[in-house]
Amino acid sequence: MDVEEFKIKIYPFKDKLYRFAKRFLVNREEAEDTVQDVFMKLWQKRYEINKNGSAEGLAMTMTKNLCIDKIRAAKYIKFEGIYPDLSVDNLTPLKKMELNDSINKLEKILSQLPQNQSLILHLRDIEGYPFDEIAEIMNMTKENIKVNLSRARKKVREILLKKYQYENDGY
Amino acid sequence: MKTMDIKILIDKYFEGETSLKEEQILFTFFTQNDMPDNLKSYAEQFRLLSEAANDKIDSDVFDEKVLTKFNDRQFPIISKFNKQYLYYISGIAASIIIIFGIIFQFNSKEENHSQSRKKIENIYNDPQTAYLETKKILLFVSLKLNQGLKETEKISTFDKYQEIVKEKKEN
Repeated sequence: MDVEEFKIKIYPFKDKLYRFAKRFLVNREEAEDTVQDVFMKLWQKRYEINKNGSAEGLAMTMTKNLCIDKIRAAKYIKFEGIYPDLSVDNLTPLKKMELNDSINKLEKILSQLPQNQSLILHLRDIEGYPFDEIAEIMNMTKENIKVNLSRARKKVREILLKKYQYENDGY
Repeated sequence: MKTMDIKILIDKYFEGETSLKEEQILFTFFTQNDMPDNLKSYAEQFRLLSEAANDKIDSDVFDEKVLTKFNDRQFPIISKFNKQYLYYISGIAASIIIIFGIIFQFNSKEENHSQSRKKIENIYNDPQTAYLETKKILLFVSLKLNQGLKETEKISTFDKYQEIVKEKKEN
C-alpha cells in the first residue's frame, strides 16, 4: 500500500477521530496531534489492515487508548497543558464570546459526566455508531453501553434544565 | 409527526432503547423551529448534539503536517515476529558454521602440529640459547620486582610521617 492509497483509506474518518480525541483531551491541538499519531501507527501496521475492510473501528480504538495514555502521563507529570483553563474570570471578552459557541457549551456539559458516559454519548449521539461498534471500541458489553447511554442522556437533560432555571431566576 | 408519537420516542430515547433510525427522526424533528411548547425543553439537547458533529480538523494545516511526517521519516513495518522462522534460520546458520569448523580442522591439523614441534625442537637443540633467554627473563623480572619494592618502601615512610603528625596533634 503506498501513501496515496493509505490516505484514501483513512482520510474519510479523520474528523471522527479528531472529535473523539477532543472529547478526551478538550484541547484542539492535542486532539490534532493525537490523530496524526494514530495515522502514523496505522501506517506502520498498513500490511495488517484488511485491504477491503474498514480500519475505522481499529483507528477509533487506537485513538481511545492513545488519549488515555496521554491523560495518565499528564496526571503523573502534573502537566498543565492538556486541559485549557476554562475559569471564566481569566478570559478576555472575545474568549467569552467563543465560549457561547455550542461546541464549547456541550463540552462543558459533558465534562460533568463520568468519562465512560460522556464517551458513549459521543459515540452514539454525535457519531451515530451502532451498539456493537461502540461495544468494541469501549470494550464493554452492549447492555452496559445502553445503561450508560440512558444515564448520560438523562444527566445532560438535568444539567440543561438547571441551567435554564438559573438563567431565568438569576437575572 | 404527531406530538404523541414524538413524546413516545423521546421517552424511549432517555431509556436508551431507540434505534439509530428513530434517533434520526428525533434529531430531524428538533432542527425545525416550529414546535409545540411542551416539547421545547428538549430542543436544546438535540440541537447541541447535532451541532457537535460539525466540529472538524483544520484541513490544510493538518494535511501539511501529516505529509511532511510521511515524507521525512522512514517508518519500519512492524510485522509479527515469527519464532519458527528464526529457529529455522539459526539452525541452518549453525550447521554451516559447524561444517566450516570441521573443514578448517582437517586443513590445519597437519600444519599446526608440525609448527609447534619445530619450536620445541629449536629450544632443545640449542640449550645455550635457552639458558641465555631464561637468564634475560629472570633479570628482567627481578629488576621490575626491585622497582616495585622501592615503591612499597615509600608507603612505610608515609606511615612513619602519619605517626609523627598524630603525635603532634595529641600534643
